[in-house]
Amino acid sequence: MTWLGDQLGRIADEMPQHDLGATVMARYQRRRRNLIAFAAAATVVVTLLAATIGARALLAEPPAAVAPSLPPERSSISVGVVPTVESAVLIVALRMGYFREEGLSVQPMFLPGSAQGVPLLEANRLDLIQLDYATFFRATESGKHLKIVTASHQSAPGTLALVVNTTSKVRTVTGLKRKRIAVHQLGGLPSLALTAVLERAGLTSKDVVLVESPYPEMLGGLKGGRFDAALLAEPFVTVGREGGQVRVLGDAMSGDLANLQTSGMTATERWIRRNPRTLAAFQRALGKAARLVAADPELARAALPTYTKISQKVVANVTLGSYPDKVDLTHLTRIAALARAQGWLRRLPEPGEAVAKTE
Amino acid sequence: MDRDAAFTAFLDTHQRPLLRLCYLLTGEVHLAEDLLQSVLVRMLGRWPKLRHIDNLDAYARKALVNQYISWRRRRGSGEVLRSELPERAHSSEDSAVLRIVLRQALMRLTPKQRAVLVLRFYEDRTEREVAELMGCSVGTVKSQAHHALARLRALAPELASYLPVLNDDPAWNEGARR
Repeated sequence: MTWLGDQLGRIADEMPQHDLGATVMARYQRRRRNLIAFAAAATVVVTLLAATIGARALLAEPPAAVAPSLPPERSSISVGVVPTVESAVLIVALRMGYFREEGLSVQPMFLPGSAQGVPLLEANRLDLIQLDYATFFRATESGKHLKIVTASHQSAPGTLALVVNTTSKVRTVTGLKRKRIAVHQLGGLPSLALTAVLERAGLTSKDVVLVESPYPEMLGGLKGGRFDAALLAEPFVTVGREGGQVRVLGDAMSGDLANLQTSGMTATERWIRRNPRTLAAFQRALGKAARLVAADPELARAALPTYTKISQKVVANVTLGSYPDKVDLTHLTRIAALARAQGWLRRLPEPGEAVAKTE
Repeated sequence: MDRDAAFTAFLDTHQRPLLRLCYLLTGEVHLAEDLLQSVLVRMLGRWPKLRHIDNLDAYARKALVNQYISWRRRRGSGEVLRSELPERAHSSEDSAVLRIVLRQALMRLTPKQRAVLVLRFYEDRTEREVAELMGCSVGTVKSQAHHALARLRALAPELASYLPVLNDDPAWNEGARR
């Protein structure tokens, strides 16, 4: 056998083996039932039509009785997320098959930065993206018609940290003056948190040089000396620390930002208008996974190695935030106020307007 | 009920290799299950008509490959986004690393190229058999395989030395024809 064949075989070994027999039978039976029911409904409709013109009022009845809940408008959707602990619930929902139960096939797309998802969302290349709340407000202020549909993640001490190489001479945040600091994305919630950290140390963001870098590349960039410090999100903080590569200078989600919700699933208003059932199905499945993870956070931990480069050993030490199933408007208000105070927003947005209204 | 029994018997013997094939084609656990399920549901619907086909396994494979190619054609646009930039910082000697690089590179091939590689090298089928399964000519299989390998080499130069060299020289072709 060739090397290629051998490697393909090993890749195939990764496929978990389930018995699909029962599912296939159930799907087939359901399809057949629907077909029979549909045929029956159609017969009823035709009969009624033929019988009397006055039957109009009855027409809506038979199909409604047959299919009490219509399937989602879209059977397959693409969701853009940044591969950190923040996106764990989506992966848990996928692994538990919750989307499939709702008749939805969800394709996660890993983005280097969530702001990069906004144009893809507008171009209908993505259906939903996980967007941090600061970027969200800046995007809506610049005229993008976006709404938050669910909360994704709430920070905890340690989920976002300012780190330097263990060999670095920098001991305190004050020592970062005129240094290069990597942030995931300028103008996002992490950079807002960084500004707060710098201000507590008597610096401003003008005293340092901010460099944009995707999270997976930050540890390499620190090692290679492309920047002196980095604002890392979990699980990368733990990967760097356990690997003996970095030292934590300070927790970023503290002070005014402590325990805030950081990001939420976001869609365009047009998409929400056109796909109410898809959205409801997505929200149900994600909410179910969020409640499951709230009861057992280890499920989120177990999902991490499936989409980030982290070993089973290291994953045990990762700091997890929490995964709320509702958007908290007070958190949105606080983030908007902090962004406004930094001059990132021209006016204070109305947080109630930010959240999609669904029944 | 013997229809269900026959179907279950078919699944018992064939679902494992079929699921592996789906995984190699789609590169994703859920998509693989979806792909196999949708083909199996349709097969179950046509079961009485399929009774006369002696090689159901080949039928299923053919349906899978075609379904996969047309699926991907419809869903196509998202594909490119998925490609994380392969990190080259680590030593690429490690076979696990090479496999990850191979996986990522495979995801960036077109569905047809991917299908040809999987059928030709993983299932170890001849070009004629692959052509039969994909419903195209032997020439198309040859050119798709050639392009697929060339693209793999371009995407992941560290794999180049491991990839098979297709014998496109005339002497070999002569031999193959004889």
